[in-house]
Amino acid sequence: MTITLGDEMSQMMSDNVMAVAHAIESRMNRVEVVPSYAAVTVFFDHPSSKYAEIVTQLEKLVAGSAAVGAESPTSASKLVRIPVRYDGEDLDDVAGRANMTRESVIDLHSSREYRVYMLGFAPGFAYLGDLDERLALPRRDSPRKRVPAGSVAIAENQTAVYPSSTAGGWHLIGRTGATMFDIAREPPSLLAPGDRVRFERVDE
Amino acid sequence: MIRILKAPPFLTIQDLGRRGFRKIGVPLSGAMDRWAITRANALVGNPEDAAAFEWALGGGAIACDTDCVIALAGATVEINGKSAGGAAGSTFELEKRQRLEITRVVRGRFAYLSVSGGIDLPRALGSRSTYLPARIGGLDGRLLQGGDALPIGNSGRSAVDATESDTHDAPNYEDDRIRVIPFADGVGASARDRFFAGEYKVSPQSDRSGYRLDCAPIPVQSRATLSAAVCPGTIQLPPGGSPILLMADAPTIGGYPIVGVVCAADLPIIAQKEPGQSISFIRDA
Repeated sequence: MTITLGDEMSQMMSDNVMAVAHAIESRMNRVEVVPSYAAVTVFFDHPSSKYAEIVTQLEKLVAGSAAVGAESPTSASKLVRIPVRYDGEDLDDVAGRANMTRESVIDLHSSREYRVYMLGFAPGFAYLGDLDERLALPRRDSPRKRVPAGSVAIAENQTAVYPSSTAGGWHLIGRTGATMFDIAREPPSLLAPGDRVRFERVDE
Repeated sequence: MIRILKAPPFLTIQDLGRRGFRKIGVPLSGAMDRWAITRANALVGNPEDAAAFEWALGGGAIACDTDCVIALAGATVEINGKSAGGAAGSTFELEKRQRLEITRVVRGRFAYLSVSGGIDLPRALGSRSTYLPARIGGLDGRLLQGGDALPIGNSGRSAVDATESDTHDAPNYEDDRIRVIPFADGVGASARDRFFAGEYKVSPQSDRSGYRLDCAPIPVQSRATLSAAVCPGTIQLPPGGSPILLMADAPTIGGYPIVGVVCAADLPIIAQKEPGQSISFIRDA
């Protein structure tokens, strides 16, 4: 069941999404909650109540979380610093298309704090926003068949780190040695929805 | 141990999937045909979430180090010149080191082979299901091959105790009309009507993450949709106009407009359709 809270992508919307997700997770049993940009999806394992009852319960939780607001898990979200060596294959291309120097691209990318809107595409792949609009480029016309794990990339108004080697259509601007996803770690994913991220430039 | 003497081209370990990690991007995975794996486990007296082999695309052979009971369900396979498996399933009592050879898959796509006691590998993120793209679960997250040997769990029972009555809600794999719960606002009324009026062929470009459906293109009013969570059974309508039906290994998030979701009870029927087979969809209130 998906609760759509709006149709825009913004940090304020994301705060809302996280508050609703948190309220549902903490009050309902045996559910799996997946937040996204402007929606919260709830998966029921073995629904024990009728559809209409579930809808009523969810409506109450949504209304309650909007009213309380303070219960927003922003305070529970963590700030994660990710070291980046800015030597990506597409860095020159990005600089050219944005009509600026490599240094400016690096400065713009590493000078702000990003929000984890959601994870998807691959285990541990976090969609981070918002990227400085001067760096916003459409995805590559043809995706690469293989993007190495740890690649730091941008597309449209977002940035991300590829946790594992997969196909990918984003522009590669750097790489990190940080392990984004490891099933042997608790929690397995370095980033969770609602977290904040800063990229820190390193030279080796 | 249960030993793979000869592996078919596609052989993995699956159970009912990996729950609780979708918000960090880990797909549900698990058996493509949840009815069949549950049935195969019931036939050997295993709990429904026991791990079993998901077997596809050809023949192969197995043997166990000890006496055991094996069940097959899902796709119909050929063993000793006879058909086995199907929705109701078949069981075989094997003596230790007795070879069980599946000559070929006759009909359908995925056969589930369970052994009394279940395959007892460690769980990865709560499940033994193999998710090949990220090499999670199963045996080192990979396809099984000839020479692999897998530990079998302890089983209190060796006798087969699942009765015929357990198959009263079995899927009819021959059915080609799939029930779909339509989404109120996903692709617009006209695209939705065209979707339900259409005939589709399962595309050869189909795998554990999703089945592409070949048809005359269905134009969708291009409306920017923000990506949100999707699940097995979700039917997406990308700009190309040919639907994609998401399956067990589908990514957790999707951005294409959504027509609706296949009823859980009909997902096993879809899972068993082979490339080129025809299907159509009917509205389920």
